[in-house]
Amino acid sequence: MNIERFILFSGIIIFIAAFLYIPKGQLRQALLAFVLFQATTWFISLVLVQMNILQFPVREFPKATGSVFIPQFFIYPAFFTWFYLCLPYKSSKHYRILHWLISISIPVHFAYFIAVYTDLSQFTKGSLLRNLAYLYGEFGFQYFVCFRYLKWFYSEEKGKVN
Amino acid sequence: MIDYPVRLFWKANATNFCFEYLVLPFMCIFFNLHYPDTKSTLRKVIYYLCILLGFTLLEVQVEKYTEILTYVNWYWFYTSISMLLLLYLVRTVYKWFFHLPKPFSL
Repeated sequence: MNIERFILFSGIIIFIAAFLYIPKGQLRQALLAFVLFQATTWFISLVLVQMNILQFPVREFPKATGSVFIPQFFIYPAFFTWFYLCLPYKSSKHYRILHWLISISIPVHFAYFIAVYTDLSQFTKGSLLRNLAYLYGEFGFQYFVCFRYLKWFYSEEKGKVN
Repeated sequence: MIDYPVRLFWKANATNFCFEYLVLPFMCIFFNLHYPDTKSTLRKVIYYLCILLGFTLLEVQVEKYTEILTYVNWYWFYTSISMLLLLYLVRTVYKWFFHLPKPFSL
């Protein structure tokens, strides 16, 4: 089994294991966070491939799409779901900023390493440092947008069903 | 089974992104918002049939007169059946998510 298949297979296993550890009372929140992030990664990955910024030479459905399926639809949303479930609401501001930085760094470095060391993705333009900065911007933006949506969705409004 | 000759993001995607990302979700949203929850089962079945037949008719016309969609090994009733399963699944998840009673019933 080569490295790409190992990563894809591990991604599914980790996703299933992470799913089983979600507390029962937070299942709906986790599902919404998961599906929401899938929507953003789906759109952004297609835009990146269309603009020839990123390529995915090894993918699960090579005829159907130019983007990988398991990392975009399972691994990155699982990272975001756990970021959202583990948000330290009652901690100090510094701790929360650190939580954001570490949580965004995890998918960024995962994406960076699979781009550099495997054929699951490839940067087509720019230096590696520039692409790293770009990944931080992309994931930071996605995390921020999805977090703001979830904050709005679960805000206490009159007559709103949570 | 289906081909999409003319599409958005043609380099990145072999499927119809507009339909899957915008049309289908909006269809499911309005299907659920206007669902006749408190009416009889017959009314609910008629509601399902109207949505499915209307959508299938639209898709057949798009397939016939445009190049957005081409049936390779596909028939119109496959669309109806798959849309029925999808709408039912979305409705079930919607009812489960918002703690509504009897998520699996019509």
